[in-house]
Amino acid sequence: MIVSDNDQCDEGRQLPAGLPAEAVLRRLLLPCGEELLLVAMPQEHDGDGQPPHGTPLLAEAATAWVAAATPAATVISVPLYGCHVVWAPGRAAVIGAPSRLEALATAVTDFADREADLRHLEQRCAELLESLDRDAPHAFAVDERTFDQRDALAARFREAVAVRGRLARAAPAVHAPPVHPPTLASQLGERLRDRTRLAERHEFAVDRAELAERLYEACGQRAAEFGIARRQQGLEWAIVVLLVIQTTLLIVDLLARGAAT
Amino acid sequence: MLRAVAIGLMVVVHFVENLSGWYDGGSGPFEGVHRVWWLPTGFAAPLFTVLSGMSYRLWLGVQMRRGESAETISKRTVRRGLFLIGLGFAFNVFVWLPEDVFNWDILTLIGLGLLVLDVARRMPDWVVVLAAALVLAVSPALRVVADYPAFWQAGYFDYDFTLVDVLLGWLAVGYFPVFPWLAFPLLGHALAAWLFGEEVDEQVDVRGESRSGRVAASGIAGIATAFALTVSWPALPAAITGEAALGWTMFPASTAYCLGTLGTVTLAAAALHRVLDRGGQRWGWLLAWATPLSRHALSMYLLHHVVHVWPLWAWGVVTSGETTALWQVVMPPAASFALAAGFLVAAAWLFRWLDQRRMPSAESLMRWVCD
Repeated sequence: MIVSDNDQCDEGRQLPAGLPAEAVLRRLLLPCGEELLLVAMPQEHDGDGQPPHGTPLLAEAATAWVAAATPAATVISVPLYGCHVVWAPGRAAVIGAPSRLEALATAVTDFADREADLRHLEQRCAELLESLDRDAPHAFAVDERTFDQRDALAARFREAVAVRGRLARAAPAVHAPPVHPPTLASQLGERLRDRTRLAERHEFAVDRAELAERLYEACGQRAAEFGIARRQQGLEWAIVVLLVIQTTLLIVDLLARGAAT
Repeated sequence: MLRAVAIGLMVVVHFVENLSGWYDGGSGPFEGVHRVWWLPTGFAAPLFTVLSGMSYRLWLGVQMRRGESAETISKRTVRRGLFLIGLGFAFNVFVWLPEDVFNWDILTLIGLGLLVLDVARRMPDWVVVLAAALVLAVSPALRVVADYPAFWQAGYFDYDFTLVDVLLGWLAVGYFPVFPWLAFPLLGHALAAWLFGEEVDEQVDVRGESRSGRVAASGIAGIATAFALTVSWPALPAAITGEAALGWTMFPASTAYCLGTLGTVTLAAAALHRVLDRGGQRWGWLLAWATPLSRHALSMYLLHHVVHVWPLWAWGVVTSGETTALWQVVMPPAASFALAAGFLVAAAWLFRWLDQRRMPSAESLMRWVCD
């Protein structure tokens, strides 16, 4: 997952000002496809195990850097057993003892991947919901014009099913029970999940995807019924046409006989 | 554009035939003892009737996009059909004189076509094509059963004022009887869907070109079949050709004639759709002159008869006391052709002028009465 470190960072992704030189900037490509910039800042603790006095300043600088990437997003800041983690979509910073940094980074990365995956699914649900009002009448009745849109409706049904499938796959990770005995990484993951309401968001997304799936499934049934009815109606029309032609032949024959006599 | 071509052809053919020509029911459009050889007789009516079906399909699309109900569309269609049928009878009385009121000319056919299209629009396209094919297929048999030659004397439809003759004229033996002429608006209706499809689609350019290519190919196939039928007709046994199913004749409309003209119209529609509809502003000047003629095709049809037939009747009465004394012999073909060309130029200018001032015409009257 680690794509680059300080030496390979491209322009614009240099180590932010105000951070210690020991800090390491990593650019990570998450499994969901999103990129995460992670700054790991090692900080030696005092002799009594307390964090040094400079920690609040570092956390402030880290928060500013994380927030700069996505100003609209809420920045989550989690102080945890002398460490400090700051996260927002796309950026994260971990501050703590060097021995804990790797565990913290792993926990943040796992969480960022789940959150990004859920965010993408929420976005796809929102797009489905946008077309829901427009397509709702098609679940009840289909006409010729609607029938011509059946490819688009089918595509939305496939999308709803795909989103539901992804949500189902994400569910075990989102709703995972607390690890026992707890570790620093597991506690960090739980706190980040709580702060970002990951479980609730997942449930809402499942509800939306279910709604879209039910609607487009009904649309598909109506379209299929309409297609079958149309084929039958075509055959009925063909029979009517044949009968009209036969009747016309009969009428012309009768008229011609009448004219001859 | 195609409708402007149709009305142009019709004006030229009618001027030359009525002022200088000679009907010969047994000869083709380009030959015959008395026929003006260079006159493209026989293409205007198929163009008009096919275009009536195509226009109806496009009009139908506009009505549906406006959200008009099926009932409203049906009412408008039926009113328009009845309006054209009534206008056709009035036209026969006032232009061709009362004894020709039931000659079943093209206006009554297009009016009936609209009534039938109101039913056909509910059918799948393949059924419409099947209906048109059946109409074409049974027409020769109907002409044989009805004894077509008995109704035609010296190239004219000559009927008695009896219910049997009038009905047979309407169905099979008139100038433009239901069989086979109803096939033209029906196929026009199906052709419009095939050629234009859903033009709102973003990918219309790609799919439209392939579509117009297939339509053009089917037109060429129709022409080739007609040519084969015309060439092979003398060699076919009489049991197949039948008494009234001649090689290439407009009266009666033989199978070869129907297929050939349908193929020509299909090919022309596909070609003009590709060249003009997708040609951007390149052909703007041409369309600027063709549009008034196309938009006022019904007015043009009525007007061109009035301006050349009424003076002919009046002059005949003045010179010999017989209304039809000068029909087809009043002037040489070149002179009547020049008159037709002059009329077309004057009419194009007149209808542009009428459009600019939003003056009423036969079309606006029809919309006012029917919509």
